[in-house]
Amino acid sequence: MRNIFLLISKEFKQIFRNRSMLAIIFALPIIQLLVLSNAADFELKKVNIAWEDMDKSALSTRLQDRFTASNIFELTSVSDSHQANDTLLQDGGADAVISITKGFERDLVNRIPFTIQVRINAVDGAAAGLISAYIGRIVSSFYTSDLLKVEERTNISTSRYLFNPELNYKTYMIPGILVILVTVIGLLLTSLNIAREKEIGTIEQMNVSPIKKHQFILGKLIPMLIIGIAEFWIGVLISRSVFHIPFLGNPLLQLLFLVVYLWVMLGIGLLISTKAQNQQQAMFISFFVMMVFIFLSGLFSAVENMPQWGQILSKLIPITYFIRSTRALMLKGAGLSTLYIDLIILSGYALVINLMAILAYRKTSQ
Amino acid sequence: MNDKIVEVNELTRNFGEFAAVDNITFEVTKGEIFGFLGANGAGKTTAMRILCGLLAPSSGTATVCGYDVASQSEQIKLNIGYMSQKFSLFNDLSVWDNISFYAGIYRMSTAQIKQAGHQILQELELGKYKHRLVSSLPLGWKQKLAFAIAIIHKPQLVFLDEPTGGVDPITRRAFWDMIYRAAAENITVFVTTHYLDEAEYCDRISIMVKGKIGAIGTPQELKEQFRVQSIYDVILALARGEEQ
Repeated sequence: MRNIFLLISKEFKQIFRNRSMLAIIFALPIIQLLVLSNAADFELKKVNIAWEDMDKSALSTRLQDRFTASNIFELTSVSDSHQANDTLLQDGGADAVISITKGFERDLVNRIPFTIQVRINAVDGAAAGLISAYIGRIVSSFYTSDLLKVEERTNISTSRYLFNPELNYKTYMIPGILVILVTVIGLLLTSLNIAREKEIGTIEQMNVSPIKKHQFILGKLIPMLIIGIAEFWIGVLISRSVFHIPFLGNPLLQLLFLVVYLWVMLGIGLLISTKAQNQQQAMFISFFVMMVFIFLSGLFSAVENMPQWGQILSKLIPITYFIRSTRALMLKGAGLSTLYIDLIILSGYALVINLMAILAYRKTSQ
Repeated sequence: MNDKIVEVNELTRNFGEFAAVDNITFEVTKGEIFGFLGANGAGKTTAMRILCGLLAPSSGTATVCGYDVASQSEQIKLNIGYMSQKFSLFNDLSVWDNISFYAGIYRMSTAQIKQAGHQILQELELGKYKHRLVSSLPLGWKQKLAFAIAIIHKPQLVFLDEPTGGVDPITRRAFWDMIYRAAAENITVFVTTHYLDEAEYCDRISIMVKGKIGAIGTPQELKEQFRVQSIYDVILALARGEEQ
């Protein structure tokens, strides 16, 4: 016990003496949280549309006003030329062309199905989908509120957004970014830290001392665990105070998930450090593993949209379960009854990976 | 108990087909300064790693401080000190942090650490630098501090792996004064070096050649045995014998 305590206090002294290490551990994540959450934002802020009105009726003008009044859309051109509008679409002057066909008003009044043609620049497929959805929303709200009698409106279904009523993308992203921060600490710093002792050679000095292997490992992992926990909660505080992201779940349950997840990452870091001879190698392997984790985790793209094999891979990496449970805990206030499967899976990973790491560590030092 | 602190009997360590240590037998007596010489790659480091309990022997036996290297390495580690040229101290910790960390590992009490630590600072005149990072000290000072820390727990035996590599002659002399003082306190010193003047300071030396012990004895005995004037000539003679 005493040896572990000595090692931990040594580790903290080394970290707090080293300014660049301190910066990596505390300043960088804070900046990342502030910058990344604003940059990794798929929200549409401003969509330029070209208006093509063949009907030129009172109702088509009212629909046009609807678009002008919205915060998202900006009418950059109003023209009847199909060709001119296509050119606009071509060179980026407009993101979408809305074209009202002749007979629009007549069909509307007579309750005959009417058509509006929409042409969208779909180079960015996700954005095109969003534009299409926004346009549809405005058109349908125009239809229901302006044309139907009150008693008729009850038949129209409307959607209400739960848990993130303003459809704020940050609310969705920030729990994920918190997870990445914790992953960086657990995986990268652990593997770098142990590889560093190998590189300098102090690990040899530890090996000839009465420090036992498990003491050395715990002395390395526990400080990283503490730092990871601290970092996560600092992140939660920032996301609450700066971005007003709620934290609805039970903090103790979140802590439990965090600790289990950190053990998984620490185990992977340890595993990497047994293979790597120096910090450079450790850095490269860690980055590779982290990239795979981040892209397959469903952080930037929903797992459901991945191809079959991608979905399977995504299920195989531990970060997926932690991102999912963190989002559910923070935003929905989910409890253990809904998240116990994720907890079991993460615990399984923690167990298996740490066993592998310990075996690998033993082998290399014999 | 006998007065042998290291007993090595037909010790061999293979790496695949290659025998880094090839059937060596020797002893080290309590309290002596034992020089362990040999060219790079002759097997010194492998032999030393086995004696420290870092590496298991392929065959043969060795005991250190009365403990078997293969099965009782934990006991050995409590009774030895170890210091090398390349690594020892944490550069990013202060002088005092290093002292208290290593002393703590060897199960010294807080009071003992305080007393022994202050003695080191006094002897090495490092009092002013107590809270300086080790990285800011000159190499010679670092090595002297590393040695003092390696014997802070008063081990029975201390292994020094090229402790004076790259150190200036004056500091080397001072370093050897420290070694003599340690020997006077009944700490056996097991030292490897490439400096042949240092070999002459040892009570007994052994010279390893290609995994075997080429020669062993007091410096005087070896010079007489090979009928030469210096240890340098002994090593040359051994190398020539190897070539033929």
